[in-house]
Amino acid sequence: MNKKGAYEAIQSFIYIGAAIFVALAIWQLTNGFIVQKIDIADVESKLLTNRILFSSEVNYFDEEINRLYIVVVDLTKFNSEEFGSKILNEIYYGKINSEASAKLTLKDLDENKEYVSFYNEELYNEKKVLVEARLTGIGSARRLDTNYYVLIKDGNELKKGVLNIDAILPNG
Amino acid sequence: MAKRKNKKGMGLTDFFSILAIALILVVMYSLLKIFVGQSTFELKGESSRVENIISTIGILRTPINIDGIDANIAELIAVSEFDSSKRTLLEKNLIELMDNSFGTSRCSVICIDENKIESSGCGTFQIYECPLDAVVISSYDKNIIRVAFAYDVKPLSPVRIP
Repeated sequence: MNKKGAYEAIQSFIYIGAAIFVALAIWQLTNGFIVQKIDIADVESKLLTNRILFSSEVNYFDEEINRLYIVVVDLTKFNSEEFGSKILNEIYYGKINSEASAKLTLKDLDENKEYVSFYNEELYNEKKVLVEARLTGIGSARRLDTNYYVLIKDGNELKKGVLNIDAILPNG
Repeated sequence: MAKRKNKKGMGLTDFFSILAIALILVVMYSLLKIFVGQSTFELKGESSRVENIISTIGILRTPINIDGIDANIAELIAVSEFDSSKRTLLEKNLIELMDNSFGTSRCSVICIDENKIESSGCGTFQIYECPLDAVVISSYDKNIIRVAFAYDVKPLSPVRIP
């Protein structure tokens, strides 16, 4: 190869390289603006929290006037053995629920007592380990911990309380 | 007078030029891959407003004894509108309720119209804004009273205008 030929070859390589780089840059920039993944974990967990909060299995329901009192947690329902199965039927995610789970902690501020119930306890215990290990990505899980000021209906008495909903949902 | 390169020298130049281009390409591609990447759109719920309203309803329904009469916070608010002696009782109960329910490490605020009641977790020399979303109750003279509650309120950070 003579001097002119070598110079032209190098120049061609530079042009080809530049063209490839420009093509890649355009492709990458376009990719950057196209939404390829929609993250709805936050909305999903808040939706579950609200479904629990407005559930007739948690709140006091006056059968005489057919009215549900939201923010008034019925302690008899909350502490009953069937609570887990009843709330699973109300907030239905299929026969085998691998979509959502939550731990409900009701703190009685007047008597300084604490009551714990679960929504899908099996999945909660399984995924809690992954959340605590701070694992991310598919197969792991996300947590949303929310506190609500509520009233606890214990017989005919209304007590002050805080309902903590610790929702854990698997990452899809 | 420029020195003439031999054939061996030219071959080396060719090789290093190609290597340099390849290197630049790899570096630039990696930079693009790191900094541009694929975008993820995150849908976030506006539910903190709902949470605050739900807690406000709970606070208003909280039973309280006013001069031997069983009532609730909503009624005490309505009474304190025309009986100023009840305001101290109202403020004391609301601060106690916020501290016991949400702790003293974070600031909670209840606004009854323009009157702002802050929990013990709020800084003394800091300014906290009243929440926008309020629950409406009626007073005894048929006026509207706006009650708004917010938990974990961050203080305003005023900027001095030069």
